[in-house]
Amino acid sequence: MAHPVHNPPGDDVLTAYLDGELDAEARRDVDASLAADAETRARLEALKASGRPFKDAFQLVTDAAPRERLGAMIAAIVPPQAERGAPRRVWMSAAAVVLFASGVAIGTSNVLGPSSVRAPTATVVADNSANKPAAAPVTLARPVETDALQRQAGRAADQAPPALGELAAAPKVNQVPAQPAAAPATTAVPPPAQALADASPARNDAPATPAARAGATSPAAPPPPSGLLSVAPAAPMAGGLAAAPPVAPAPATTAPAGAVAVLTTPTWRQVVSDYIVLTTAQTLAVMPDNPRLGDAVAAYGDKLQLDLTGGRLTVPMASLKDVRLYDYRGRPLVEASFLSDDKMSVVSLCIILTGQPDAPFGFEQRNGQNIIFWTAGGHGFMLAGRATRETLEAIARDLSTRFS
Amino acid sequence: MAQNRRNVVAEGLPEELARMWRYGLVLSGNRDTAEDLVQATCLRALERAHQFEPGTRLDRWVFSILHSIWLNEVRARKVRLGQGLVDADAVLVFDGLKYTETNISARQVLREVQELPEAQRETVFLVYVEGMTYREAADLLEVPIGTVMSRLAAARAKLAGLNSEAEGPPLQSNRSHGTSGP
Repeated sequence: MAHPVHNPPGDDVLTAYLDGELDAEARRDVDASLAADAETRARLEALKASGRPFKDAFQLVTDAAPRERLGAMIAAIVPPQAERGAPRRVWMSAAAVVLFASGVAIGTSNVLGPSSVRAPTATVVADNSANKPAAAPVTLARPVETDALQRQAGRAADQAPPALGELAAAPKVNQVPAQPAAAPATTAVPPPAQALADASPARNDAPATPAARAGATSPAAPPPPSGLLSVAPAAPMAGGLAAAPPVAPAPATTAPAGAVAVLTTPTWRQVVSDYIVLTTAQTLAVMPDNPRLGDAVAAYGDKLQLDLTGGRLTVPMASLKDVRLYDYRGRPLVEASFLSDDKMSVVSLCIILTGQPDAPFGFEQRNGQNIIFWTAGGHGFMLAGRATRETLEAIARDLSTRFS
Repeated sequence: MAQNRRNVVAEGLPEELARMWRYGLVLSGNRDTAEDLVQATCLRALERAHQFEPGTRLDRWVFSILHSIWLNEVRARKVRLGQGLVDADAVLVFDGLKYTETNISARQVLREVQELPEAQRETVFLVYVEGMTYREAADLLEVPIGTVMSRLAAARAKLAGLNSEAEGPPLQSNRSHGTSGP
């Protein structure tokens, strides 16, 4: 005899039934209802139709995660293991210091408590050092691109959310291992034109505080070239692969409690530098030649709206080993990696569609690499490597004639 | 002990970043905001590492922090400022993902989930994507388990195209049934 059904299960119970979340007694009740009531059976079958391959679908979202930036972020705020536990690590001061720029203000004084939202400001920063007052506020946000590129891109942080459905179409960005902390670039006296080109009200490449200034090395002219693509010995390391431990003094001694410094805001070049520095000559040397490299160059050129074919992507005494297309905040970015003929050096050319006005060559150093950058035809160019500045400038001049 | 807990958190965070970002994206519908949420969550987690219980799941713990930051700080602020939370206008530059049937299906699923009201979307994500039990989801969301059930039922009804009750609680609700949760 069927169990009498007095109270047919609702959708919530049927859903829990489908999800295996009911206890034994409740499950028996539902079974009884199903046995006795056709309407309940029909409802259950209808709810079953809502089943979807959720996990598989969301794997695409995971794949689209900006792992390189997230890795760089976590590397900036988590010290190397050997340093954990040391008192007042300077890394934390630098890492916890972020520039408010994205319109998201987050208080930290209450983990699960009420909001401590702060008004947008580009000022307040704080450290997480052990002696920080527990209630010290932090204005926090992702270090946001504030150079002209970002402005041109028109992607205010809150204005460009992708639909999840669109996310499924996100590029399979080459996953890059976690990066070390972004470090201030050592910019060697940029020419005035470059300064104009890069200037923006919120630009923050130049260290803005004593602590941050201490983290930057003084401009130093690289040694004279010793051959094409020769490695510049000991380029000043504002922050190389071991960038996390900075050289700044403990900021709390020089700044009011809770406000110590301003983290340099990475430009696209910083982001790019952080991953291309991981490519070594050996990385490229063991890479088999890609017979479809030419096709990729042509296709990626289309994305950039720039003709890369016809030998335009060439560097003297080096061969093109790899070319990759990335998405930098909605902008196509192509990286071409060249390996010197002696298999000893790497030069990377990165091109991004910016729509910016032309700008002459500038020079900077990031992650121990020398970088020549310029803008032409609405594209930003960045030539990076451990070759000497003079060598890179010569290559850049050659390249620029092909993309003018 | 406190330092040990901090190390546990610090060492575990890198493994969770992509999923944290995904969760942030589900909540905010905005890649940049999702990144902000991850960063804020990491800093908060490190700051409060002494509250983490070793042996428990770090991902659940950081998810609860992320949820809290979103709900109490970021989302609240966006609403207050009248900023839209979802703007489907943005399209990521795409290259390399083949439009196989699998991906087309996945895109459709993501669209369907995105169209759910936020509370339902988040609950669907936590239970059906992250694999949380009802109890775990209820604890993270700080709502009664019955609310989790209602949200999922409404989401299922909508996904199944059943009726308009997807926007509210199911018409038929019987809370006398127990769940198997602890």
